[in-house]
Amino acid sequence: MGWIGESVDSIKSLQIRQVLTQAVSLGMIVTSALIIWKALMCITGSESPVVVVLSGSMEPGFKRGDILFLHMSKDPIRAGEIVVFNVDGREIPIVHRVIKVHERQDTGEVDVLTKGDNNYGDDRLLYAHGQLWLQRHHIMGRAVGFLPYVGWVTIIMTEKPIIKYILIGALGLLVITSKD
Amino acid sequence: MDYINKALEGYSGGGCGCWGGGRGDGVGVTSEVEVGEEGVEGRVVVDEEDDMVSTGLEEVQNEGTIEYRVAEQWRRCNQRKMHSYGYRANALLTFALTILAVMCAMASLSDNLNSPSPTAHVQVTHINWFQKQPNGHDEVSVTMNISADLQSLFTWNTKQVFVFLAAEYETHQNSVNQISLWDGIIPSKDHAKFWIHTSNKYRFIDQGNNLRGKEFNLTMHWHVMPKTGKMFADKIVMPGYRLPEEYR
Repeated sequence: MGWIGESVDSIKSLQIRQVLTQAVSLGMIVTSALIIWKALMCITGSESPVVVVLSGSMEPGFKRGDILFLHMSKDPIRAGEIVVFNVDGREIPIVHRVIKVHERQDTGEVDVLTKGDNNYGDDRLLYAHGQLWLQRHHIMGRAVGFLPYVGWVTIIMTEKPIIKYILIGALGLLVITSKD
Repeated sequence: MDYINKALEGYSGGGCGCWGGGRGDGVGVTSEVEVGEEGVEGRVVVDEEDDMVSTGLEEVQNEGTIEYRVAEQWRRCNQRKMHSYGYRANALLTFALTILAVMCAMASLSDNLNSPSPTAHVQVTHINWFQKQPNGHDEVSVTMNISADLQSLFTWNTKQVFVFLAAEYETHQNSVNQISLWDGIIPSKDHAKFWIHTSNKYRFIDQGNNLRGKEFNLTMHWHVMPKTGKMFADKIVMPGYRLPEEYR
């Protein structure tokens, strides 16, 4: 029982300098994470350089909870590449493989058809109503690298927000109470 | 604060310097506590009876200025205990994750040492049908014999190889047309040398009606999916295929 009182005492007896130091170090952690994210955005040219696979449509290559690293270069899109695309009217981007490409001679515009490796048919059912092809602007990036399992952290946190709050609370408490 | 720390350690009989409540070895000890740090000098004489050993805290708390010190000491002890567990767990976790990350990176890099030499051969055995759809696009159905040896693509970091065969051609309208005709997932090295007889899995439809007499390449593409790290892709282009001049 006593430890609650002790903790309260410890918080009370914090000196202003320590509080400031902790605030600064907390700020450093947050900003450095932001810096890394923004730097990745600049390097990869993709608006979200790291994505988590949410569905099993690319199994056994990518499972739910795997992390993909995206890259968006000026290179033309070719068949076989795994691209992440947004469909109008759908919030969550999809990671699938390109199976057909038609690139226009005069304008260089591309028509792309995708399919999940684990799906039976192509993605025309997933596209907006009446949409037959994806264009360049639908595509957010192509997958270049792969890290298994790590994405489970975010999946769990989105699906069970209580865990997120507990984690944030615990980390916050740790930062506040830890000295030197 | 070191003084008091040492004194208390001696008093409570060692341990981590925390006050282990109710240790009996402090009986009759006269300890001298000198608090020099902040200019307060107190002299604490603790004459202990057996029954006073219980916490050791109360008796010293009577000593005015010392009271705060002891509370402080108590708190620090608690904190150091927590700190040491948390700190060790943290250090262990960080170390483990670093090692894991390094190993993943090395596994991915080791793929670069592999220089594969796959082979592929495709034969179009039959044109099943070839017609113009009502919307004006040409569609053709073909039957093929596909044989390939992709065993050399597999390394210890290979989860699977995705292989597909695409028809590639150029028309006056499109500079690039790639149409996947067949694909497959090769889960292991044992399955990497194969021969199959198949008609096209995906529809071979042109954007327009340019397929009559069209020369095209069949290209065997493969995507190596690693257990972790960078994905690799390459292809073998097999030129010299031609579609018939007439619909059938």
